[in-house]
Amino acid sequence: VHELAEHAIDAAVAAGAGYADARVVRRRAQHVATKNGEVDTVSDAETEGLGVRVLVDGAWGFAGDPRLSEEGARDAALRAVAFARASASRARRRVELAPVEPASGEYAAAVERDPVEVPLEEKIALCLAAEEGMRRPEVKITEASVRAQREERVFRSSEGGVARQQLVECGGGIDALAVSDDGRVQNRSYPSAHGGSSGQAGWEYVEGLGLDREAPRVGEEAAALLTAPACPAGVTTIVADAEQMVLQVHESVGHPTELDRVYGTEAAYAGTSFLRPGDLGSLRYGSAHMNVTADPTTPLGLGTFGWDDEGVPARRQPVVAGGILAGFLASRETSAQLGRDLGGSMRADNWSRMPLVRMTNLHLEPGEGTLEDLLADVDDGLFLSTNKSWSIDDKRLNFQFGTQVAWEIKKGKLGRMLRDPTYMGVTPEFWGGLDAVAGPEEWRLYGLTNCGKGQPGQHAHVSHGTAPARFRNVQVGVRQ
Amino acid sequence: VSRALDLAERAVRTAEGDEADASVHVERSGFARFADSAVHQPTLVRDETVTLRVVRGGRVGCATTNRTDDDGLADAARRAGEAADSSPVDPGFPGLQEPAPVPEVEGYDEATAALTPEEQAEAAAATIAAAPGLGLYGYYTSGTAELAVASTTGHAVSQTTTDVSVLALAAADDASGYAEATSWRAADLDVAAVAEEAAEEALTGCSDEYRPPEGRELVEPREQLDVVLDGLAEADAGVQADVLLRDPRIDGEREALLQERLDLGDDVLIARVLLHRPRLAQHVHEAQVGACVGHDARKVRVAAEGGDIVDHHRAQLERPPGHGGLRGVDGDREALQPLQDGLDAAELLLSGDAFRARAGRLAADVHEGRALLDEAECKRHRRLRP
Repeated sequence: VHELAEHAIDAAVAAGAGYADARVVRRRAQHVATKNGEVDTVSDAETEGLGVRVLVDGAWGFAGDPRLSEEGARDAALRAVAFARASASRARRRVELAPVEPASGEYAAAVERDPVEVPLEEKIALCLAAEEGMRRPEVKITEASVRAQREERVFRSSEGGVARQQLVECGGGIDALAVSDDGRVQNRSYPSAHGGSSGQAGWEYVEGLGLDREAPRVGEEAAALLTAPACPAGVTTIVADAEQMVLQVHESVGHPTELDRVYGTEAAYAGTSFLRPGDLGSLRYGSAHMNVTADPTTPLGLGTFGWDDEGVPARRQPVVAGGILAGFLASRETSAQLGRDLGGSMRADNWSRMPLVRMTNLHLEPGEGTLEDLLADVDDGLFLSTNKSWSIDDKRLNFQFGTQVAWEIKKGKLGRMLRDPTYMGVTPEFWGGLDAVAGPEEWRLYGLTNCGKGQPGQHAHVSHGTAPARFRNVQVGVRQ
Repeated sequence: VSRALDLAERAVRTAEGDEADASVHVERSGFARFADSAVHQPTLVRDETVTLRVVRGGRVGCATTNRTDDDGLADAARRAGEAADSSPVDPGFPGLQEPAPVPEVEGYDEATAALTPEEQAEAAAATIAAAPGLGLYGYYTSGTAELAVASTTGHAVSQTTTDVSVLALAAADDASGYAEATSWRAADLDVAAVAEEAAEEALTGCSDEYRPPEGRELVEPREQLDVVLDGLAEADAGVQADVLLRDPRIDGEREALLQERLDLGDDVLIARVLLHRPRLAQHVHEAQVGACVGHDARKVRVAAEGGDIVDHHRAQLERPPGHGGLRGVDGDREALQPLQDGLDAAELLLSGDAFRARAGRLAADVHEGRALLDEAECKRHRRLRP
């Protein structure tokens, strides 16, 4: 396939492209889900193809083709050039690319047991066993799922970049939905809502999640929520668990620091950002306890790679340091626009899509102490766990998030369970109230597979490492 | 016999089992995305995907591939067989579709199918040119989608449709305007009018009150699922509608009610997509068949999470109503008040006349026997074309 990629680049350059890169992607993905003790989904999908991206007179063009043949490669290249040339005459700005050392080498995820090769029977049995543990009279719907994916990516560019990467990921999760006699509904999930958690690893990752081990607790808590009192409203101190902090970091730090949003190119769909290019190095994003890092080298991370999809090598990069905006997630194009070397965050969800600026692995760096230490310094507050809902404006400034469950914190100890908690804030104000992040012993890595962006739509797989964090003066529930 | 149907029949012949069917989707499309009044992400896609379903002793397995040579189909057949062997017997499996007539659908236009990348870029440029002095964001896309289904029962159908859409978001200093139009015939689409409408909204502001178009009516959210399904039953959506409507696995009234409540928003979107975005609709269809799911709405939603559908809906929910995405912070705060009053997005979909009156969300239009659903845009005067 290296030769096919090279063939595409040669065809594009011969047709007039000033720059060209080609990605050959082969992917196989499995998904198994059970529901109420029955198999709900068993899917096994493979796709392969080649995507060619070109610059002609400073304008982009992209074309994808499923045929891994010289004809397919040449055809994709020529169509991409034609589209770019048609766009170039109407461009208002000539695209420039920040310089980068051409990619060279191979990268492979560390895998003990290939998750795709794990028999489907074993996957189904794991799901059914986990479901069984959640059963309670009040729990009307139990669901469990696991997924496995194996992907080969070959990259070549007209600048001499050559890289081959083998990415393997898998994950799983469980959900319990409890219903009261009068029709009220509550749910609990593990290890994360919205599809569980995944990692770039072998099947040992799924086994390590302990879905069956956690199932009884998940079922019990879903049932208990039916009779729990509603979360009261007011301004208070919250401690968010690591799983909720994933959502908080993703929505209120990850998306607004995507430099294409800052420059407005996502305005028609995903939105823009409250940040401006000139904020780099000066904007106070949060308190001094806030340190956020983009790290595509994190072991197990879904955003871990050797090179991004335009050949920029993986590099750990500060995004917020001591509460000050210290970096953006960027492409070669947006790095050149800003005139800064910002590393590589360009990723495409398949061969048929153009790479976009995406999160890789975006972490809230740990502070000190345990969760108990965080709670101990709260006289009256709330401990919030597991995301349930999120609403945030297109600039990622005003938000309201809900969690599946809360517990009172009274004089440093957890108290009653509460249902339907929500909290809201304005991003820099909220992060300004951060006064503690738990230490490395509480830090967890979660992998999400549902980050949407772009037109045509793309889904990115990203990871976030977080620890429980404490915020002061947060508006909780309905505003008084 | 179309290429897609030929491919589907080849795939069925490859399968080893009691029964088998194959669904083939072929897509050729161009997508000229623009921002700040310049095309910046032009994407051309061609792909053909085969989903093969095999039944062995009451066990059902599926596999999907876009490798359409003999080796690729044989591998898919092997994987589908393995999936069937690994699955428990499904007592609720209704069997494969028997041969049945398919409604004739007028949805293919040769000229639209033949649009070149240059013409697609030209259309995007014409859209941009119609909103001078404003930053224009959005896209122009056109494409051809072919769907074919063949089975060992003798069912063999194919359908080819074209579609073209333009979306424009115009940004003024402190306001934005939005407009969108879709058709299956490029000649019917007035891209300049769409851009002008978006620009006018941006420059003149918006009304807070939603008024349905003449001849259409608002319905309550709880009634909308029925409206969607009734509409689909009568719609010329052919195979897709048929697939969505068959629901042999709903297992109890309570769960059906729950799912209705939980998934209403997605149902509305999926229904709209099925009716107005045949290319995306095929992704939904492909996903649900590929996942071996049944045909109830919740499963469709789960399957669609692998595609474009759910996040698009979510993004619309997250966006302050009536704001195209570039409004000032104070305006966002005001528009977000319903959310800040303690309701999450799903609850908003199901409750609150006040919110709906304010935001015009979930307006379902029943017009000429079709359910036309305009779920979010009180001030985004979506153009619905039959």
